[in-house]
Amino acid sequence: MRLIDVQRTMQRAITEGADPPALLSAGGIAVYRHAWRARMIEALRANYPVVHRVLGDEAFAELGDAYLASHPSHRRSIRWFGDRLPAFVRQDPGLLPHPAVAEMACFEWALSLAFDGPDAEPLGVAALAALEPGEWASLRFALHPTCQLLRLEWSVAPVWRELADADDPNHQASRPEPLDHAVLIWRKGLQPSWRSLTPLEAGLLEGIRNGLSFEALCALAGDVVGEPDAPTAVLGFVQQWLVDEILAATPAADGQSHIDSQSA
Amino acid sequence: MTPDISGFGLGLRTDHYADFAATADLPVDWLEVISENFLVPGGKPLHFLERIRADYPMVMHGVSLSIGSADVLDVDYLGQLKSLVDRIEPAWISDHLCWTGVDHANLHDLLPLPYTEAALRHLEPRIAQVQDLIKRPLVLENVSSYVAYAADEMSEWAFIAELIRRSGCRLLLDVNNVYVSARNHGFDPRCFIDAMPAEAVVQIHLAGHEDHGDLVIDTHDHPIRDEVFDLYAYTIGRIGLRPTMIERDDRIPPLSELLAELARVRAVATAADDATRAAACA
Repeated sequence: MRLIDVQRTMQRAITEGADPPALLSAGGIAVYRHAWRARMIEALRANYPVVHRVLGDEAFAELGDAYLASHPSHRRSIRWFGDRLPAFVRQDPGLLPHPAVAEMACFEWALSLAFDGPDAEPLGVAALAALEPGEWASLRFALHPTCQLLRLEWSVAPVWRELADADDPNHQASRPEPLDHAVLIWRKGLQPSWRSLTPLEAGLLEGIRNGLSFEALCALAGDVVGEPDAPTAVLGFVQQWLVDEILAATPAADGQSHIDSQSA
Repeated sequence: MTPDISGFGLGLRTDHYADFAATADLPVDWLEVISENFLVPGGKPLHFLERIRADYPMVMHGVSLSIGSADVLDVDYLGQLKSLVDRIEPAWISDHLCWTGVDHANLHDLLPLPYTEAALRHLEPRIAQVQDLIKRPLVLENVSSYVAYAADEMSEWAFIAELIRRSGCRLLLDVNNVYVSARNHGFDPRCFIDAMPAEAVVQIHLAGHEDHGDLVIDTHDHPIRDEVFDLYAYTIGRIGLRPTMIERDDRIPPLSELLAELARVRAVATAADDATRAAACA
């Protein structure tokens, strides 16, 4: 038997429970079967601790089995197992007891991406102070690379916090309320962070992501607060973003529109 | 330049990041890090890795090379591994003599190879490919196993010794794995130890296991058992002192407990080495 055939037969015996006839002269195949399933479900639980709390051990293991059957791991690191769980549960809402749990999965995966996402120097106030007045109109900010903007239909974040902080693993959380809103998830220092956004702040952050200049951000804000108050409103947000490390200092790639990290 | 490593180490686990980051002179001579835990873009894992690396020598230990798989080696993974090597300059880089999946699946387990001439011929160029990339010998670890293949043509120890001879790889000798496999397959673990080329052994792993009588499982969630300490002492008597560490992967105790266990490892190794030297002089 070729090596590849030995390995395919063994792999099927572990993942599909197939009998490996004539492959083995000594049989502890059940040890591998059990360890594989336990390891993968534990990896999923590590990425979705609050979804696990919401569902409980048994229902979470059932979800894990369904996910494992349709999305076996192909990544080198088990850290990435579960990357498609949010899409998986959205596709088949019957897997979950409540539609908000799918959004909870989306929220938790985004937090995990913020945890070990790329590092970037936060934009400092000194870089802005050094700008000439004429440079502001064409100024383009950059978001920290861990910034993710989620559009949610349920108030999942407060429920997430309640469950994540609860000492009692059987804590019964409040039911999430229907709420169309945006949440920003990012990393401040080493700490994954999140907060809800007003529609204006969400629009401005999306504008930054789409490369809008400060002048264009002011035009966007003007539609909400009126043109005369728009620059002050945008600057108010910028001040908060600096404190929260939501903006990144970026190299001046095009020579003018970004803020030079050296001056941060 | 990479530092030479000697003495007694621990696997670096997240529970102990703060301890190692806060204290530069804990009684641990070096640390082993799981390579895959740090193949991430940034954030806390890499922050603590670099902070702790400033104070402690390190070796890198991977779980996903899948050197024995029938699939081609994952060059993207190898590239990431090389970047991490350049970043932390470990004394050496190890992984397991096993396969973790085929047809691009990863079972995230360390599956045994059939001990055949064909497997040896499969491994040799793959080890050469990795060694060319990392510019140093690859260190491979014997795994624990719960099955044996009908196709086996030789013992595990003959297979490993021959692989070392052909490929120039080095050995991370996991004494607990030798014990676990010996119990599961009914061989004398000392035959395994006796067959290892002493000069190729660069590191030793010790760990705890679960003993179910007719089945012994390598769990890494208990302290090292006395019978493994005995086999470790036998090993040191045969091959001399080697950098040795405790692998604890689950039910991680406070660092003070692992340091106490490491002190016992140190004492057992020193006593075994002293006894060998005394016998040689007598």
